[in-house]
Amino acid sequence: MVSVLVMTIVYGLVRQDGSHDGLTGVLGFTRMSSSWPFCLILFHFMTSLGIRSVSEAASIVHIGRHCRNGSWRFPLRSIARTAAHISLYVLIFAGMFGSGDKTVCRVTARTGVPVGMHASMDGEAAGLPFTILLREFSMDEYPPELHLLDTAGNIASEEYLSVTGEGVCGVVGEWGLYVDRYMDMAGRMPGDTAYRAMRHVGAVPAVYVVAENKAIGERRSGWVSCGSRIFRASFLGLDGETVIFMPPPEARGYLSRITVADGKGRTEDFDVEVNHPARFGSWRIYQTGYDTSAGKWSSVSVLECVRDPWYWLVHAALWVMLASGLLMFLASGGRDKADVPVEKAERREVR
Amino acid sequence: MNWSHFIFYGAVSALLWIAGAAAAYRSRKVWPAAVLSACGCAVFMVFITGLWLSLERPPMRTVGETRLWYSFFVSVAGIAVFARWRYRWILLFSSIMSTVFVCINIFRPEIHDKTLMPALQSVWFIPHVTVYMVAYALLGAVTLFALYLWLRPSRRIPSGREMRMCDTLVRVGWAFLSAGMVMGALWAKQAWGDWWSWDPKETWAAATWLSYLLYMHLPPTLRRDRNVPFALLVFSFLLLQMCWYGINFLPSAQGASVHTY
Repeated sequence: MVSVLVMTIVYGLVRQDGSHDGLTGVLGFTRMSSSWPFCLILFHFMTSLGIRSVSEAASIVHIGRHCRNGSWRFPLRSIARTAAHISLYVLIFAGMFGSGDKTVCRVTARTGVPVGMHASMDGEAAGLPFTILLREFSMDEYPPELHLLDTAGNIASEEYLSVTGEGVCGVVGEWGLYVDRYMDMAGRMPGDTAYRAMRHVGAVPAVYVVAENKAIGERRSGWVSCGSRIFRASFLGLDGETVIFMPPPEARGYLSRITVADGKGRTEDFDVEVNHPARFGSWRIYQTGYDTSAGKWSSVSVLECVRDPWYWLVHAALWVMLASGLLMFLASGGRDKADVPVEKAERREVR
Repeated sequence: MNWSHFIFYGAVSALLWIAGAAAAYRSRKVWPAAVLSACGCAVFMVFITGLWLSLERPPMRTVGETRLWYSFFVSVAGIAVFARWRYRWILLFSSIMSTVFVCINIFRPEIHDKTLMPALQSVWFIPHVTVYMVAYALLGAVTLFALYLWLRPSRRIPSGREMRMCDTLVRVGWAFLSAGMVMGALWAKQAWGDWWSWDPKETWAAATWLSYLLYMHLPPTLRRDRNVPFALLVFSFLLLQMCWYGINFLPSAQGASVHTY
């Protein structure tokens, strides 16, 4: 156990960049999980843990005797201990040693184009047992925010006004801001001063903001927008160095609507989001990324298809580990069997 | 119900929690303190429920909303640990932590709307973080206690009861650490398809977990040497600090962790 702890600490202290330089590189510490020292120590640890788990499981039959004596804490603690050892063994065996059986395929899907190939971990293209058609990629964004930017130091204010609609107002720094007009999808043609609503690829949120600084009696108004690949960003200058700007709105969620088809006629539609992968047979499809430069207008979705044969065993072992923690919580405290009070021991002898 | 009502509910809950903590010291029975603190949790839940209904979604999306759940669950955990082991200071500890989060929400209202990125929108987010916070609180408490037992002026050998309290707190803290790791793994599998990815935060969490596990496995011969268990507890807590915020400064972890924020 001490050696595993030491290896883990070294794992944390050494940058995992796979380089071969220096002592740490030569010893394999820069790619720890595939290094000889780590694997050997883990193997040794698992041998001890395995022997211990088997002996714990065998002695579980004696729990009945303790239950008959009326004590509940000791059996509960034994069960918790046994469950913890066995579940840890299964977790490392199936989760770590078994991860070699996992297949991970990264698929870059374009809207409307079925794709049956993926890029494997070493960059080569390989075939998938199914095809994925990306029907639609959509992104839900949080309302845009208006921040003050100090152009001298390029520092944006922490305070901001969240533009949830027209008529919204608030104070940012020394300026009172009022949203006179707001369009969530707008654009400005070259030569125009104002933004117009348009549902065009690259359309941006645009705000006509009125800013007032009562202290110095100044009032400014103008369009502010975050810009996109198609339209340039707009700022509103307040005084010499401060402007109002709108950073690109943050994603609230993004969703890929896909159709998966295998060669045997089975077709299924899925909505894939972060934290909500799709399940197709023994495969799980995860939403990994999209074309960030296009933002919500991305026509590309990056999906990761994972097939993990050990999934359910690891899943079950995790829940057993959780249960053993709970049992340990309930069974802790009180006396250990070494602390049995003297009177009880004498009583047993007399009987 | 909206955030402008929070100051009233938060203040009432905080007062009830502090009253419960005070009752833990003044009364020999468990129930007055537990009931007072539970009333604080109930009042807090009224606010959360009201906010939930008015937002028409669970209040788990913004930073301010997640701090509501921290306050709630930390105080619930405190009541559970107090009711189970009757250590009087536990309620004071959990009440202070919950009140701190209430204060943050009152004095920094701009975080109410601070957005939560898609990866954090999961049922596991709040339990995972809350459970770790409770673990850190308990393990911090046992470290303080261990330092006291180790270095107190009288240099008295710790009694059986004192050592058992250390053991119990470590066991419970470790159980919460394990729960946090398990929840993290279940969440990671759902989000990225991997149970564990040796992210620096995860690596140091594993080191902390192993270190406390080592304490729990110390043979009686090593435990009798009073320096070993206490030194190990302090060392384990240093690993915990590294996991908590040390990785934000550690050179090997820069730019390599999804947990640095």
